[in-house]
Amino acid sequence: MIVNRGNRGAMEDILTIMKTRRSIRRFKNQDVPDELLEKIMEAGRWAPRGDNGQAWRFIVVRDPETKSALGRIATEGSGRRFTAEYFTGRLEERFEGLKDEGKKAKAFQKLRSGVVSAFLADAPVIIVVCAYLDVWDVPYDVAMATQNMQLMAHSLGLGTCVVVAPVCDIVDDHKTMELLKVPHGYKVALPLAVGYPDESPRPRPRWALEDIVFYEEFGKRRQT
Amino acid sequence: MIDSTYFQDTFSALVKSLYYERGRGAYFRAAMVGRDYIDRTEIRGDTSEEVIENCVKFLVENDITEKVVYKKDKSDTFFTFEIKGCVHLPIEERLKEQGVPAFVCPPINIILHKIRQLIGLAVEIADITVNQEEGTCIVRVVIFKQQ
Repeated sequence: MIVNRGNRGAMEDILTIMKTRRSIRRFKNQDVPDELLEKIMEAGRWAPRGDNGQAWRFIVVRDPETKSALGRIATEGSGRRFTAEYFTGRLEERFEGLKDEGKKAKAFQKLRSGVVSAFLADAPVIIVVCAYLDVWDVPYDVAMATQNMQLMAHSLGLGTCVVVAPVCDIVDDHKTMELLKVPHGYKVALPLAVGYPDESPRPRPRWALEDIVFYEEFGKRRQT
Repeated sequence: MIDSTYFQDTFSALVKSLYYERGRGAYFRAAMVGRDYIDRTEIRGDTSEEVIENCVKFLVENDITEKVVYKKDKSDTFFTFEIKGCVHLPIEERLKEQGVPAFVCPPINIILHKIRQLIGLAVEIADITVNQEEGTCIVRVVIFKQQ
């Protein structure tokens, strides 16, 4: 357990956990024990929160029909959005670095079909992070809880992926709320797919720190 | 009757708030704006074209827009709507001054909602371009062939 403040080794462990976490979209056909799920949600429960609002609520979904319905909503939503981006040329802009036209066409086809989000149905477990709305900092609180959960899952040898596709569009959001019987006054924030990883994705590129850090005011670089 | 400036100011402030909360994702959060209003009226149609025609008639008769025309590309799914003289145009003017891109179009939301509801087709707004000088908006939309 990493609790020792000022312990350099512990700090490096935390950074290693953060840097080696990946979004996992392919899972082994292996159940996740309840005790591990509880550890993950316990990590969420200890996230920072504004005004002690504790907006988070968690729905653990294992039922194949419910997972399938969530996967369907996610697939349709992603397909619609990527198709719209295809027609406007925005998808082309996203892939401007990819010169192989065959690969590009294949990628477009995959995105337009929405299948990129279909894996949600195949996750052994989906923890649906919901939020109580009568607190001040809803999106930030639940996002911090979700990240805690992802890091804990990774440290336990599990993979996760936040799949916003079933709640990105407000019309889909309403379908998801109805499916999960989420009452008024709450919202579905972030569905989190959880399972044992069956892939090892490479890290995605990140901006260098010097490109994103300013000093004293936005845009001001450190004097060298 | 209250000055419409009041509604333009308040509506634009709300839209700006939403944009600053969700950024580009605000597009997808505004898709239902306008649909309660059209649901007070019975609109009919057996095809997308009929639904569009009847919704446009409703929008013009209720002084929401002066004119709406559209065309579709060869894929038969990508539609370009041109909306002239829309009551929401002064709101977009305010938003543009504050650096907020156009992302809410209640007239198109109304049309797409009815297509989804009556024909069962999937729909998506692709982008919105406002031309203040000409008093028009161009809204590009995907109306899919299936749910």
